[in-house]
Amino acid sequence: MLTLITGGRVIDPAHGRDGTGEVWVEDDRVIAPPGRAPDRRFDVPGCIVLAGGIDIHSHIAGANVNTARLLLPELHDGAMFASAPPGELIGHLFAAMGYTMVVEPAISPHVALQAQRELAAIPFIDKAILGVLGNDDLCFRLIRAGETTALADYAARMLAGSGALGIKTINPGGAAAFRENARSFSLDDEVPRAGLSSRALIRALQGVVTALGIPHPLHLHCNNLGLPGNVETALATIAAAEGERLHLAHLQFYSYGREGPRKFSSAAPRLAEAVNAAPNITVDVGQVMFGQTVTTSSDVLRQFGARGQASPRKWAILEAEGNGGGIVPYHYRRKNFFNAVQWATGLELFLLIHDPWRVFFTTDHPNGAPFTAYPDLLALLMDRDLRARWISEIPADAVAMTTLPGLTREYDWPEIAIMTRAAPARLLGLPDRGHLGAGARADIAIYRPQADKAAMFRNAALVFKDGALIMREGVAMKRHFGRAFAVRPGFDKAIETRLAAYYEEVFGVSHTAFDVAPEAIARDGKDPIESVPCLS
Amino acid sequence: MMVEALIAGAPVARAQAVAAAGRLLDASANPLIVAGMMDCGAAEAALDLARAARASFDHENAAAALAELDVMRQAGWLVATPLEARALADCVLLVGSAVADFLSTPPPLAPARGRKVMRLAGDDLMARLGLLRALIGGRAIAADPALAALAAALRAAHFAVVHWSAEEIPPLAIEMLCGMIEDLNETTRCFGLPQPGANNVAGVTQACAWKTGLPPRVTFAPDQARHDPWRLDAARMVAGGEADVALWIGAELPSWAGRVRLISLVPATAALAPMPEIVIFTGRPGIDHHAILHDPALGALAFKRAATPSAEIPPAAASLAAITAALAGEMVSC
Repeated sequence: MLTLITGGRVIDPAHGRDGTGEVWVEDDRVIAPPGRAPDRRFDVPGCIVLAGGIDIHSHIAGANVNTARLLLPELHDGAMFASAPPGELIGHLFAAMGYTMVVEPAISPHVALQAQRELAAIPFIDKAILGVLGNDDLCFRLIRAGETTALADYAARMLAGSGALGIKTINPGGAAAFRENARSFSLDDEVPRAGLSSRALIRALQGVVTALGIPHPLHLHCNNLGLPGNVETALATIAAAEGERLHLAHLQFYSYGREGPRKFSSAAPRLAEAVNAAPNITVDVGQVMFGQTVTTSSDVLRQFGARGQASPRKWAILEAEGNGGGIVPYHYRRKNFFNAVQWATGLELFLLIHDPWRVFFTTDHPNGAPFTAYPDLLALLMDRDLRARWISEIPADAVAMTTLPGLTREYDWPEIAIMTRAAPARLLGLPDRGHLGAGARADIAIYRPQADKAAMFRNAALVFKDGALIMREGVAMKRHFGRAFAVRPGFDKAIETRLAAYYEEVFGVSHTAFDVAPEAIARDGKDPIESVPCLS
Repeated sequence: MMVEALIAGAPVARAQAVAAAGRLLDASANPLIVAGMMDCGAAEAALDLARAARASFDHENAAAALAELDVMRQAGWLVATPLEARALADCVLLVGSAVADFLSTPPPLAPARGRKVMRLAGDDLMARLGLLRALIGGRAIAADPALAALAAALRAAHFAVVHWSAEEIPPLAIEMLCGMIEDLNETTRCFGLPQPGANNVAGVTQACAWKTGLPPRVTFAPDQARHDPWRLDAARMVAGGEADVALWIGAELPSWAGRVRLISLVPATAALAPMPEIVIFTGRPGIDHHAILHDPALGALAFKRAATPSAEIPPAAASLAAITAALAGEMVSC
């Protein structure tokens, strides 16, 4: 099938392209103009033509997400609960917005099977998981013993078993400290009985990512999330990276100072400056938007501490090998001083970090807001007048704790295309997506500009996935299933013997019990996980 | 040749039984789909069928699982996985007599702490749990020395777990235990360790949640998924004559077979008395075909390879998907 999309403004930052033009698709790939007549043609004058969107950090699957669903039946019953929708709706709503790939960023290897099975049932989009390490006893043992190679082998083996695209670490050491009755845990605190600091764990895992050639840098959820004054932790963490690549997830949640009468303020300008000055650092924002949500995190220590703020007043804390997790419902209120400061802080980060290749568009779904808030957030980034109207509706004392009213920057279309397409593909190591050059996967989103930018982003005019027209103005046109993506770095098989002995001693089960067998998640007999090459 | 299916007790081809099942569900005013032993893939397929047939979906073991879930979704809880308990717990309280003994060897990740394993059971369990919680809370009450010692052990532990089965103890007891665990976490660490119910109810609950956002006892009539633990109790609906057709997936027939027009997806080993209107023989999860099942030892879903794979006996998921397709075909032709 040869398809021509023509007449729209084609924006493809990876190739420096921005102008009215054509995109040719043959089957599932973008091709150069072929000199043949198309089988079908889409005339989209006035529309914006982009590659499909890629979300690098949304909690859409796994045991913790499912607990969030089960915790709040009253928010599901007869109505869609955007913070933890069923898989079918996740696929539909993302695709309607023009997203064609989503990364679930926090899956412990022991529960990867469930996550991969859930993801396999999500229609329309491609997906991937990041495997969580850094609170597990074996990781501590290997680091303490200085067994750098064995640590890399162990990590590679866990990624292979899980089918993960990269490594995430969540409050490294914090969950282990929680088990030992810690109530707080910072960058240079030591994990009781392990004798390792969070700093040491981060550095060791950065080393693993480099040694294995994983394209995606270590994906870090920092210590002290959500606490006043935690900007110091974030700044120290950036310094601790010592110039090596590091991705800081949901930066907004550690961008707080202690200024003002309520000892809570935005420290986004300081942090943005540090990010701007550190080319090894990438971040996603984790923007807060107002409304009901349910915080879903493997930072069990933080979630344990936050359960007093649960709204509705219930929560679930799971203590598990590795990280565990905590599910705490929360309502961000526009008139709440703290929530308003959080909202403004996120926007400041978006607007003060200069390089759209290094700042990524997330709400840390569902922790800052459900992903269904993306259209409103994109509109806020592109329209300073809209921001001014929102600012006028939040408490004045909150506004005074931020610099947001003075920020006049508006994201333009090429910046949106970089932040939500080209840069995520590069960050994740996916050379055939995020762009519209020949050979790209034919994942394409076409938006029809209108006065209501949020409406434009909520329902793209046309969305193609693997060359198939799957959505038109929010209506599903063709049911389609994507794939999962994973890296498969090699490792010394000797680690299998060590793992077998360790698992038998500590857990009394085989370490292979957690492996995601292809047959467990395959659809229609196809290989369910596509390999992403590691860096040489 | 292997018998694939039965209609009114007479052998038929599977496709014929699938078509008949589709017709029966399509003609039903209030159909039920009920799981006995069922793997997660079958649960996904059953929920797709329930949506297509506007049926309700229940699991035979849902009552206890939902009663327990109610404790979490009304107030919250702190729980641990069995692997974490094995690795780290230095104090284990077994509540009731249904939960098995716990390994008494020292926890491998903290061997110096040793491990104390205690059991609290008996006819006066509820009263003693109340006293235990009061003791943990520091109330000055008269209690027998054994109970006081138990409270002291929990308070002194670094990482305690409290193990129970919702199929044995009432929701009020679970709520009391969760409150006690919360109290203990003011000063130390303590977690609940609920024992999952039988017949993969924990796995089916997970699949139901990712498919619908809700646990079993969910209905798709009239349109969106709705959950009601009392109204959608399959046994109650059958007993009350509320359901006119039931599709059952299990290892054996349900206890209420014979009281409703029944389509059964069961293995050939099942005793067929009373004879259901339609029987479609299916493979046994993890024996005849690969399956995803909740593994109580792991506290997680696990992949179980077929012990003796059989290409001749399809898994329940395949027959359920075929019925869904048959139903859709008929609806189109109407």
